[in-house]
Amino acid sequence: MHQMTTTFVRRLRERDEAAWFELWRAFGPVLRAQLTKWGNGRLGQETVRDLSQETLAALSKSIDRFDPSCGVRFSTWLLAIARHSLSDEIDRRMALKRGAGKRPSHLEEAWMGGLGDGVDAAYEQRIFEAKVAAAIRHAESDADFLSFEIYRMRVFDGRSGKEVAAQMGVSQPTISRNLQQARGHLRTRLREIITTWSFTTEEIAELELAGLDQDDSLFDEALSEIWHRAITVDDTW
Amino acid sequence: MVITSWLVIGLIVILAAAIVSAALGVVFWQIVTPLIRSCIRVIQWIGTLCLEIVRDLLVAAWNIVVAIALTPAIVGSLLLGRWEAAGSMTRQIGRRFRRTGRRVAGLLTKPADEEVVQAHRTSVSRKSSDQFPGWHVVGALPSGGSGASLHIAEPTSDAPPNSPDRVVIKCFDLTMGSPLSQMIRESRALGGAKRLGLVIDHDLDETRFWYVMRFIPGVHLADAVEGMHAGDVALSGEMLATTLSWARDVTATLHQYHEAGFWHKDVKPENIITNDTGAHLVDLGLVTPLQSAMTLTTHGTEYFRDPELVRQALRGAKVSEVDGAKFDLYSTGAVLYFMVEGTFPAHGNLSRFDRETGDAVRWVIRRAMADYQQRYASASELLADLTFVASAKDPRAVRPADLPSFTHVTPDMHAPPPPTSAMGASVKRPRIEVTDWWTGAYRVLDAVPGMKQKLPNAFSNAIKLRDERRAQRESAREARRARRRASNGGFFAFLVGLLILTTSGYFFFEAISYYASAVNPMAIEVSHDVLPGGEGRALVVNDHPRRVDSMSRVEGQLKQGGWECTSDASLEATFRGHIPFNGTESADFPERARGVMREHALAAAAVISAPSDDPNGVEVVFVTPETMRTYRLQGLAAESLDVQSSP
Repeated sequence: MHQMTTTFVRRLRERDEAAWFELWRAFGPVLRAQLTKWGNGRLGQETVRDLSQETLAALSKSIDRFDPSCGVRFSTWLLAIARHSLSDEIDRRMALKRGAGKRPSHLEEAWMGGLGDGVDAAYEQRIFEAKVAAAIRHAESDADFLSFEIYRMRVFDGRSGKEVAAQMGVSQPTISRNLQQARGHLRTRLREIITTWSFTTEEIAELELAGLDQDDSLFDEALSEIWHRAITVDDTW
Repeated sequence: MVITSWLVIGLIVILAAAIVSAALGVVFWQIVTPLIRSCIRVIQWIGTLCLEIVRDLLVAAWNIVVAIALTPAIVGSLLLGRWEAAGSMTRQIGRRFRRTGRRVAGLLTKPADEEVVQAHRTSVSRKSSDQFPGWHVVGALPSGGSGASLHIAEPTSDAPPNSPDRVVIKCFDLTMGSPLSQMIRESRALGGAKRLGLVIDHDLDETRFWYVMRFIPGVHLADAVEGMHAGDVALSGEMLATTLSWARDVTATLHQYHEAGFWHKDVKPENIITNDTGAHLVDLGLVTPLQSAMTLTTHGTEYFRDPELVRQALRGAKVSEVDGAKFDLYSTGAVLYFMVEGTFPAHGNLSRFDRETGDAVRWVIRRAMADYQQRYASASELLADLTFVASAKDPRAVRPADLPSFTHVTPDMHAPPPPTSAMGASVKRPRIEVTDWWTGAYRVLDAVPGMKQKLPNAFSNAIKLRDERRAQRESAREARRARRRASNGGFFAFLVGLLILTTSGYFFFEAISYYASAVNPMAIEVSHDVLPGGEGRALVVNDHPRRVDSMSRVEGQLKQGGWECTSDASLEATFRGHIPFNGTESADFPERARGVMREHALAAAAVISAPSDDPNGVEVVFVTPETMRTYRLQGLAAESLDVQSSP
């Protein structure tokens, strides 16, 4: 496991609020989307938000027991905690409904449609997209505002170099230089974030599988596709 | 000489008349008028009270009817096993009964006004909560999340000078559950808000803290934007211009805040009111000095709060260590995003634009929501960009390269629209100098060509002035209408009060007379009939001053009725000795007479006298142990010649 990963886990264990905030900012939308999916339309927006916060609180209590070296994905562990939070919520509702303390969770597993005993591919895909989105946010902070805006217009919005140059009032070579600068920041940050939040070799390999280690044009294409998927997570709930 | 003396007398008379008239006028003005006014107010108060009692009784009756109507549904739910539904309805009935109880109790104390002004619970009815010296509460607004109640009020004579016609009072009351921490926070913010001229009046005591702000009529920005995006279509050019002008208004307000050394900290659509005069920023609850030594807190609203603020707050940074103005700029960018997209920026600065708004608008939003270090440096920069885009003929056609922040040219805020029609490849680009060929860094040498010198737009100013005057006239008209409504209500209450007073006075005096005649045990009935029949001995005493034989005639009537008459002299002497000095009309007479009757076993006593208005009649006061009545026997002494020599 990479040293950055262990450092991040150590920061979480030391209750570094900045680290927790980053974690929440990156994976909060994914958690909410997953909880909404499990709820199958029975969980309101506020409940989903509360449950995602409960999941994070439970995670903070049990982070000391997490062993990064055993080869389990952090995201899988996070999902298990979210599932227990949801299960507790369902039990509480059932108990209230029936007026007794009976725990009927085994009857209500049907609520968690699509989960089964394992983790669905869509969830893992969202986790990866969340990491990419976090890397883009960091790269945006690192890069010059103009450079990143040019990259955004050129790559994410799919505008031509000539059109971007006309809007920005600069030449096309300048556009190319700014693109290169922003792309450099993005590549650096992507490697850093993916490494930090990856606990298995499969997770690290996702970068390559997604085409984010290719040449510039393929990198831009792959990043744009992932970015568009990542920012629609909240639209699903 | 005579004429002179007459003139002097005339002058003295005129002077005296003037003095007397003035004195009468003063007396009338100072005493009679207040008295009349007080009477009218008392009558109005009685009328209002009665109307409120009737209204409360009607509401109470309606609540009871609803409760009865829901009872079968509860029973049905219980039978069907729908416990939650039954519980919910039972709670609802409980609430209604509690409300009814409060209203009935209000008949004795003060009528409950909740539900009259607003459907939600409000503290208007509470005497401790709705009384603010110098202000008269006329309504309520929905409470926000701060735990305070919001009242609409009008100034009274004790209000501070130059107060507006209508204000909003934000009141924290510990007895109503307002959190103390919020009270302390807002009281801290008050100083800044007062310096900004946003607070007109305030007060703080052991349990309450309230302050007065200007009332801004209009709709919340969130509602206005929802209406704009109702058809899920792109904003029209006019709508886009409107949203930009609103954003400009908000930024201009923030610029004033920042110039005065404060930041708002809670810029969001719910805190912006829009009307004909533009967009107005409200809610001063989190206003904070930029140089405050307090620790930064995470207060604010998600999606409109800068993540950097949260990060710095978690780090434990002081307010003075960060630039709070930049956090306001982020929120402004988020609000502008909300306006043009119709939804909140779920992914911060990475949020996607789905509506066609033009590159310049997107640039402004992204620059405002950019990383803390790369954001607009001040509200004035953002304001310049917004002013430039908002004043363009077609905001969608404006290029980012034309923006003042891009060209580092500070434009005139009242500038005419830029020549957007000439945008594109045909426009000459600004000259730039590349400072680093490797990284592509550069600096702009001149402004965007074609940007003309800004001239004050007299026509726009005239329109703005006209709109302001129109708004003032409308406000004054509304105030007059409110006063007229209050006056009509007062007159109606006066009429009702007068009617109630007159009716109750009539019944009061009727009741008094009835009570006096029915309840008084000393009352005497006058009968024109013959004397009543009975059994036992009846003493006959003749006090008629002229007729002797009237006694025998009375005895005859009594005997005819079954009485056994007696006129024993010693008995008569004993009886006369117990008659009070003022005769049979005395209040003590019946008891004294009955005492004698009990001692001498008499069943009745008849005292004969002469009526003052009937020379031929006889008046007999007839006393029994139970009653005492006076009988007028007309003509009984008409033919009598037996005249007494002495009474």
